[in-house]
Amino acid sequence: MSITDEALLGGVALGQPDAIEEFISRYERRVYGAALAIVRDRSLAQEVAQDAFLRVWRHADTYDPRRRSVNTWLMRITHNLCVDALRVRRPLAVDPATLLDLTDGEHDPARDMHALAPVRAALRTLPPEQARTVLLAAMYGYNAQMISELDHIPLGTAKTRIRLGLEKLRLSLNESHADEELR
Amino acid sequence: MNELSCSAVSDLAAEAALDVLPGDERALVFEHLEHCAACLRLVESYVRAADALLVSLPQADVPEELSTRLRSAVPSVPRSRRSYAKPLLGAVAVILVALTVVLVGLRATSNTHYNPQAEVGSLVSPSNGHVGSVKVDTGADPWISMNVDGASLADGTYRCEVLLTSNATVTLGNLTVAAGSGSWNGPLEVNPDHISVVRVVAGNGDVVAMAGLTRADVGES
Repeated sequence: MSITDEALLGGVALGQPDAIEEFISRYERRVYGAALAIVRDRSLAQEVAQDAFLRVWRHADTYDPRRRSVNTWLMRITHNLCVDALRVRRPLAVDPATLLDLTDGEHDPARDMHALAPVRAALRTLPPEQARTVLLAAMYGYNAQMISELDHIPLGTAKTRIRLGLEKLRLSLNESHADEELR
Repeated sequence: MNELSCSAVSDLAAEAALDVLPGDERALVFEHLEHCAACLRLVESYVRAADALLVSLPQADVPEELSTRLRSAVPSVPRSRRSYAKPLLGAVAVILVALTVVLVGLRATSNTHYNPQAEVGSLVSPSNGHVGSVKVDTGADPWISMNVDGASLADGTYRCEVLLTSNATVTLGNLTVAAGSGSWNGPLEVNPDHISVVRVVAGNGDVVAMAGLTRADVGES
C-alpha cells in the first residue's frame, strides 16, 4: 500500500531524502505536463517545474490539508508560476483550438479515468467562446480587460463570458460530483 | 468605500475565484465576503471548479535533464524549520474558529497571487537575445534562481553576480552550462531592493547576459 500524498509531503517537510525522491517521482510528470500545456515551451516548462518543486521543498511545512489536496495545491503552485513566467514573455500567441485541447492530453488512467472525465466533458459543453474565455482566465491569468483587447470584444462581454462559462462549468461539475472525487 | 450588494458580488464571483479582478474590485468583493457566508460559498464553489480545470491538465514525459536537475537541486535548498505537525495541530484550533479560518482560507485560496513576493527578469544576451531567466523570492529569506537555456551560451562555467544601485558588484555563485543549458540557485545575501541588474559573466570577465528585475506576484506558499 503506497503512502498517501499528505504523509509523503510530511516527509518532504522534514527533509527526508526518500520522501523527496518519491514525491518527485510521483509528481514530476504531472507538474511538467501542466507547465508545458500552459507555457507551450519546453525550456520554460522545465524552469517552471523546477521552481515548483523548489517551492514545495521550501514551503511543504505550510501545506494545509484542510484547504485542498496535495495534487491541487501543487497544480495551483505550478499554475501561478506559469502565469508569472508568461508575464515576462508576453505577448503570448493563443490559439483557441489549442486552448480547448489543453485538458485532453495524456493522463494516468488509474487515477484520472473517472475523476477527470467530468471536467473534460463539462468543458466541452460550454459554448466555444465561453470555454475560450474561461481558459484564458483560468489557465493564463488573463483578466477581462486583457481578454477584451485580445478578442476585440467589449469589456462587459468578456466579463459576462467569464461569469457564465465558469458558472456552467461549476454546475456541471456539481452534477457529476467531480469536485468530491478530486479531493 | 462603497459596499457591494450580493447581486453585484455574484456578478464578480467568478473573476474573484480566478483571481483576475482588478485590485479595487477585488478589495470590495473580499470585504463583502467577510460578512456574507452565502457569497463566500459561491466563490468557494467557483474556486473548486477552477482547481478542477488545473488538475485536468495533461501529464508529460519528463526530459532526463529536468529529472536530473530536480533531484540535484531540490535537496540542496535550505528550508525553514517549522514543524509539519503545525497544520495538524492547527486542525484542533480550526474547529473552534471555523468561520474565521474559512474566511482567511478563502482569501488565500482565491487571492492566489499573494506573498511571498518575487521579482523576475529575462536574461538577455547582447548577441543572442533571450537566453534564460532570473527569479528572486523576496521573502524573509531571499532566494535567487537563474536558468539558462536554448543553447545560446557556450558550455562552461559562468559567474552569477548582481550589480547594486550603489554600483557595487556582488558575486553570488557559479552557473555551469552544459549542452546549452544550466541553472543555479541559492540564498541572496543582498537586499533585493538594492539590485540594479543581475549578470552572467564569462571567465574572461565579459558580461554575456544580464537581466533587470520586475516585481511579479508568485503563487501559493
